[in-house]
Amino acid sequence: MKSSYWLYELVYCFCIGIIIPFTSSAIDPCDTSLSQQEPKILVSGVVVDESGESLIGATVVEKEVAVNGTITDVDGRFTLSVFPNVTLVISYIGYQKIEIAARKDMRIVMKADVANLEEVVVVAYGVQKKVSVIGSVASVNREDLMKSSSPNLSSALSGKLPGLTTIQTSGEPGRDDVTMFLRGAATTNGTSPLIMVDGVAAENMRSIDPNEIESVSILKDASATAVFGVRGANGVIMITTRRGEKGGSKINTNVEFGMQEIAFKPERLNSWDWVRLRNEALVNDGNAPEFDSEDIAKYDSWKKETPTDGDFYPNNNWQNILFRNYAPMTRANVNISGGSEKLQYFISGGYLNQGGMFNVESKSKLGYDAQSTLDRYNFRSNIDYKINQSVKVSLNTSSYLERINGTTTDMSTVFYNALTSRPTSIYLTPEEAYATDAVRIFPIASGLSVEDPANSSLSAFPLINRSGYQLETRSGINIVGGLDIDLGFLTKGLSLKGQVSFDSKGIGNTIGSRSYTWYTYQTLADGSHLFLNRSPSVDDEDGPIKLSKSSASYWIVNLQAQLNYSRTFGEKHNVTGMFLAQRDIKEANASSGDMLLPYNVIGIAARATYDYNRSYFAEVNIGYNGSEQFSPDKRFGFFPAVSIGWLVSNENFLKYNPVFKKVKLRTSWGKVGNDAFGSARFLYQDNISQVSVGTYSKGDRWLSPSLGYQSDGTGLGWGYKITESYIGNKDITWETAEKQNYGIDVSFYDDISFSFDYFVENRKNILLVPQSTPMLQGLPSSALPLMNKGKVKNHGFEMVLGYQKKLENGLSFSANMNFSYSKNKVLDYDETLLGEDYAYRKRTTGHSLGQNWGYIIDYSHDMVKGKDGSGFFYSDESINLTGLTYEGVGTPEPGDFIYKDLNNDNIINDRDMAPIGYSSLLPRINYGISLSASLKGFDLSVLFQGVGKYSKTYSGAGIYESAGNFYKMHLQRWSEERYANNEKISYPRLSSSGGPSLQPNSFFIMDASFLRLKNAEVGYTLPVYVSKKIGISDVRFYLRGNNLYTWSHLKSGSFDPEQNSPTAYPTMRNYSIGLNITF
Amino acid sequence: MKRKINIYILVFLLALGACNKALDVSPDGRLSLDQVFQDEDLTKAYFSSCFDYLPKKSLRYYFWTSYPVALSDESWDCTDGSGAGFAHAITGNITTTDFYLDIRRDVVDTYSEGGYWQLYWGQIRVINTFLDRANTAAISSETDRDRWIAEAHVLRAYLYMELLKWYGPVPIEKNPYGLSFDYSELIRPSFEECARFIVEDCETALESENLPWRLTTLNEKIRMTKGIAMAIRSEASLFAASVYNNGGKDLWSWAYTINKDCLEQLKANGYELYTECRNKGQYNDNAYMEYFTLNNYIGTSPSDKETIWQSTEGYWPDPYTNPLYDIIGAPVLGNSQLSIVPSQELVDAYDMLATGKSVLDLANPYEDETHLVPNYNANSGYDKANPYEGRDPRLYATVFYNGSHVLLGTTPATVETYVGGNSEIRSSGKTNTRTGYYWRKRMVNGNCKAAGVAGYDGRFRFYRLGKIYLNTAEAAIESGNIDKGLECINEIRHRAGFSPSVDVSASSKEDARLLVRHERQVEFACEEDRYFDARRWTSADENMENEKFATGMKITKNNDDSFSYTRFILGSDGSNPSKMSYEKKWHVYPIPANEAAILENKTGKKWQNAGW
Repeated sequence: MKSSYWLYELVYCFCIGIIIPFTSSAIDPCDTSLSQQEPKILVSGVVVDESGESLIGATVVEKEVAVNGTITDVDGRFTLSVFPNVTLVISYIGYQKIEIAARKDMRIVMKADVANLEEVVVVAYGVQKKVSVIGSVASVNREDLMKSSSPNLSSALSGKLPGLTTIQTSGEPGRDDVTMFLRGAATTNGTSPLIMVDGVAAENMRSIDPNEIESVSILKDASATAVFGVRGANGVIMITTRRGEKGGSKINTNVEFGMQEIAFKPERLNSWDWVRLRNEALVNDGNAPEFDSEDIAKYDSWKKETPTDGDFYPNNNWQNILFRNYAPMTRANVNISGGSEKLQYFISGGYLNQGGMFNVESKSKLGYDAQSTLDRYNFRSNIDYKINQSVKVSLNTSSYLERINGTTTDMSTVFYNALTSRPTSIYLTPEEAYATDAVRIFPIASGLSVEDPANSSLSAFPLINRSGYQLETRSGINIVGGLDIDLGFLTKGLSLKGQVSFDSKGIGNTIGSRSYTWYTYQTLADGSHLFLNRSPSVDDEDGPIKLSKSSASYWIVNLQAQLNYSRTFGEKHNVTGMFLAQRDIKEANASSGDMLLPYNVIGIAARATYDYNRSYFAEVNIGYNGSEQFSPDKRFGFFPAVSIGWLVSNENFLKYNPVFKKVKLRTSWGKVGNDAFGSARFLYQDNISQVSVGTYSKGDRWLSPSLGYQSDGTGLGWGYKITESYIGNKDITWETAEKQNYGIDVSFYDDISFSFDYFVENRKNILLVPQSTPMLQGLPSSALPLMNKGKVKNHGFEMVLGYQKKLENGLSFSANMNFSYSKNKVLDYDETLLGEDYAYRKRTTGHSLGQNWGYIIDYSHDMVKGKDGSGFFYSDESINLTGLTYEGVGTPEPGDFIYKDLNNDNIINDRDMAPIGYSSLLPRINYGISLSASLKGFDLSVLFQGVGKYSKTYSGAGIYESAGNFYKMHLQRWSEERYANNEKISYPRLSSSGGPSLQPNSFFIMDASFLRLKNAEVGYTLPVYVSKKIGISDVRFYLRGNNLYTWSHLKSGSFDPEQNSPTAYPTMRNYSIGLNITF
Repeated sequence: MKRKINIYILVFLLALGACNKALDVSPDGRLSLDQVFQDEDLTKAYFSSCFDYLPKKSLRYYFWTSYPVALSDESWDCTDGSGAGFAHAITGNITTTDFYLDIRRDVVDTYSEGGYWQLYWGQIRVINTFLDRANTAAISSETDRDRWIAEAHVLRAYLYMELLKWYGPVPIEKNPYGLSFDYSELIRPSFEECARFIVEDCETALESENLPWRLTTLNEKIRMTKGIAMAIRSEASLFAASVYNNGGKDLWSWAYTINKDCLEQLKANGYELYTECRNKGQYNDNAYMEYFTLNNYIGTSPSDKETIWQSTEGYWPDPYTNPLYDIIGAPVLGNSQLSIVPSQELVDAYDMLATGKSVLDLANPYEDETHLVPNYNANSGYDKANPYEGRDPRLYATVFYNGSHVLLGTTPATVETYVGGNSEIRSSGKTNTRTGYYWRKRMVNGNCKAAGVAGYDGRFRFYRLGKIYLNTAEAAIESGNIDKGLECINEIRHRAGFSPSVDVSASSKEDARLLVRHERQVEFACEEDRYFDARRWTSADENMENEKFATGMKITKNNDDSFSYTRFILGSDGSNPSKMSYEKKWHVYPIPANEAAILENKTGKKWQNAGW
């Protein structure tokens, strides 16, 4: 309701905007009171371009009195009656505006406005003049990207492009993957946008040095993506690399040093608080307390900093033990660009080092380095050579090498253990430690790993320090050769382009694994401690490094041939055409199964655009391509899109308008496909195969039955069995997105721009695993033939508002805001209705993808029913009064949440689950606000980025106290004592083993929306006269902070709302200082 | 120049003409089912697939724990959160949508037990497909064809029996459903109908002249035999006649006829109880103890003639990594973790060797609900101050208690479970016992980390002749053939070490019933029978009261080196049950929630098991 009212207002304003100038221009200017002082004179002239050609339709208006104006005729001539000594303003699309004193017989030469007319936008397989773009496209240039210190290009895009959602789930060097969505999500299959680098599909953009990038464009609507056919439905991100320009060579160097710190650290407790909570949790569950008063006294002694038996009763700060406060980061890049008429070049070399946050033991002690680090080397050379007037060749060569070091243990285990390690746990054997093996007692060395016998898991310390290291090397070489031929001799405006791209990638993984000795201990009746060896090794030494290495290599080839046509007829009819044929052959990075076979994509695409006088635009885009995913009959798909646009501001009734400088309306409709179904391939075919069965080499003549028979030739199956892993469905096909887009671009005055896009997408034929086939037919769901049954609707809007101003005193200021909203709803999912006693009988259909489900906490106040409004049972009596029985979630105790009995059966169980909050897949709202200002060499910029309408279900380590640890959030727990004392209670009673409160519910399904001060940067550029003296054309210093502050609604300050869970490698905050020199 | 350009155009056109063929990447090795059954080797391989998923049971339910053992009254599980299935079952923290005990964590995870509904139906589909095609399939030897078909019947019978045990009656499927099957008429038959179908499958197999009684070569190690068919047949009829399953019908004489026949035929065909201890020093002349450590039941004359079918569990990754001492052993052996431990209830069940009398009253073993006050049997000879002395030798073979003698390699040692002992009782953590006991059954005496001795322990027995004895005993007693029943019980007790002079006797069916149930509890400890026995003996409207509270024994060493013994409740302070899984709905697992919903939508009938 609210949003539709808002839309109504917008339309209303827009209409007023059109009507006012229209009506006012109808009034005869002579009748106005302004015209009374002096008689008017008649001025006249001709408007020509730089080559002397007359310009038809140029606007000539009297300054200040914009309603008084005219247009040049077919000879470029005009006459206008004005008062003497007025100024005329002459404007023409694509030319710089001219202000000139009015007189008779003027000859006005207009200069082409390169910035405007030639400003191009990268679109699918080409560029378009910005003025003629009517698809939904947004882009960001290098300068903006460079404001982020993120080592991952995709996270540098965050908040900068309307319609693009980025979610960074980890901060691990080299593995900080970012999930991206363009205009939300509309399928249960692959939702990632297609990434293209210089017109060739790429797997990801993680390893690209932003210094190499000219611009990044996102293509959102069907008009912009139809040419990608079966790969375009999720939108496309186009990355264009830099090329040389005519002119002298420019050398640019950029060096940046930074420090990173963990953006969110768990808010730990001291051991004396910790043991009390632990006892409380155990007693709450009817168990004996773990720590007696003697133990507690030993932990309390830490308060006075004279601990008694501090070795065995420690107060460990795991954040300090495991993590460093700061880690360094370095980025450097040198690039040279320039060129002559014939040859242009851009050559760039970059280096990045990102240090890890672990507090590892020194290399001299360990003999190896297990720190998480990333080193990346990038190189690119883009060369264009003009052989003659009509033939141009280009060669892009780029390569990267990444070395990612780390421990052998996977990060989720490390962080899980880091979060569940108790402040009371010891982790290294102290001096003068003794061990027993049930036969004797003997001394052992200090500094060996120890497992807390009460916690039964190793601390993260040996996982980081003693388990060896892993060095992953990723490399890639990409060569793109291109040929451009002007076929003007055949027909004017025709050209041909061919391109061959070869991408070769390699991954090597060297693992130096190592066994380590570790002990647990027992406490004897006299209070002394004896260690027990739990992982044997010779002489208590940690084992030697055992090296192993795996490697993989793969490649991608792309062939393209493209015919382009661009011509203007009769001065006003602008026509372009594009026809493209292409083929991809890809060997994937896979080690087994169907993935081993190369992937093939083949297709043609075409585009035709027409505009009349740069005012009325029409465009048709067609993709026709084949996917090997489908049976031969269903293989090729045709994906058309049509779009039209109208530059309203070119019309007479708006031309003289002082407010609207540009008004453009555009709309598009089209179909795009998606054949990304995860890793599954050839789903139209049965997958029945003979599988060989493993043998054992351990000398045991017995085999695990699931492995069939022995394969030494003596067994029955001769070492083979048959697996029916999938039954094919010949009828399956791609999913289709039918997309509509309605957009408007408006410029007010000279400094405000606004654009708004509304889109609707209906995704159908979504490939699903049949949900309503019972398991007892015997095929697992993975083997059931998939079917095109799913339907999802996705709609939303994007807005961009820009403002820029340059003041007389040299202060320039700009502000940009983008806001996008998208909402999806599953319409069909072949879902089985749950029983009639379920409050919600469908859990997917009718809801958004990724909707969170849980129990709703009942905050109602009804003392008769035992509810005091706090949402907690306040006593045993309160539990009885509510009349509720909890089933499947444990038995409630005072201090547990009261849940709403949605199906009114007085039983709380999974039948009472309800949708809570929003989706956890992606936020509905994304926005970014960037502000920048510059004055006299100083520049300042900040970027705020935020998401809204986003929820996540949090559980497990770092959240639930039952996972083994307590944090600040748990201090606000319900307890009888705290309840009686009226203390602030925001957390349920503590539990050692889970229970009714530790469930997905409206407490643990948290609002994950946030607003973040993403970047802030202050720079200073030396005045030219200073830098010139030292032979440099441009010197700039800057200070930058990334990820500086986050406002969120989480109930714990211990982790980043962007992370999926507290056990991910945390995201980083960076402070850096940089120097940029251009020679 | 122009010619060059023409060439480019030609190349361009060729690129356009690149045809559909480019997309025809036919994956290698894909077959059709028809092709499979036209080829002898592939048919063999398909028959192999009938054995693709057989359970491992024992400690493979989730990491190294056994749910049926842990949930029954003979055991407790010390893994807490990591064995989430047990933890959730005892707190009642289980829903049908997320039924922890029955969820395969990972589809490719064939190492942990669970997800039976999906796995067994999948296997039944493969077997049905094989049976459907076997008569016309490319099998050159008719002997092979006959034997394979018989084996497929045994396998199907076994999988149906397992489905019945876990979920109750299920639809009888003799042919594969196929993808276009109309499920609207599908029904759940009675348990009896299912059991008769199983018995029929077994009898079909037993008619085969080519199905052997016993495997004679290790190359055939997991193949089916007539012995297995007999065991399944025995079990199916016994379960069908039990009160929870019989639907109010008295099926005991049918069950007795079948069981008696099974026992006789098995004995007639080379199966016998293991009565003679060979390594008398190592196993203290305890044949029962030695028997479970053996892995030798295949061959023309194996030393173990009792085992009918044994699990292959314990072979992965290799016995040197996860021998029993490592995963459920006492710390003195050098364990690395611990899951299930025996309960005080089980230990109380072992009789006095000298008198043959039970320690507690069989009808009413505890005076209170929480099992803290034992109701001692007068004149049994039990000494409360030395509770582990003079007991049934099967106690020493099954349980490590405080003072158990054990070999560390060849060095004798003692297990100390008292507070401060080398394997002390603890209330948390998963290395030390919570009850005061550790399991010993199947462990080779001497294997131990401390002494660096690893090796194979005994594998889990699916079926052994001892089981058929007590199945027959129960069916005999229930059908009124009390003397025959007692004869079987006493034969089992003789092997255990009881003298014929203290043979048990009963004057009524009720007394005899108590004796056979008691004998099964002791003889089959830690063999997963107790869980199912307690359920089939309890009618549908009653809870499994024996499982409501579980107790342990906290032992403290006094200054004079004597011990004090205190019984305590596990997992509860007495106000809540120890195990919520004692509730009646736990007679059977729930059918996976989504499956029940699908079937209810298709048939319009209720499918979910009562209470879930």
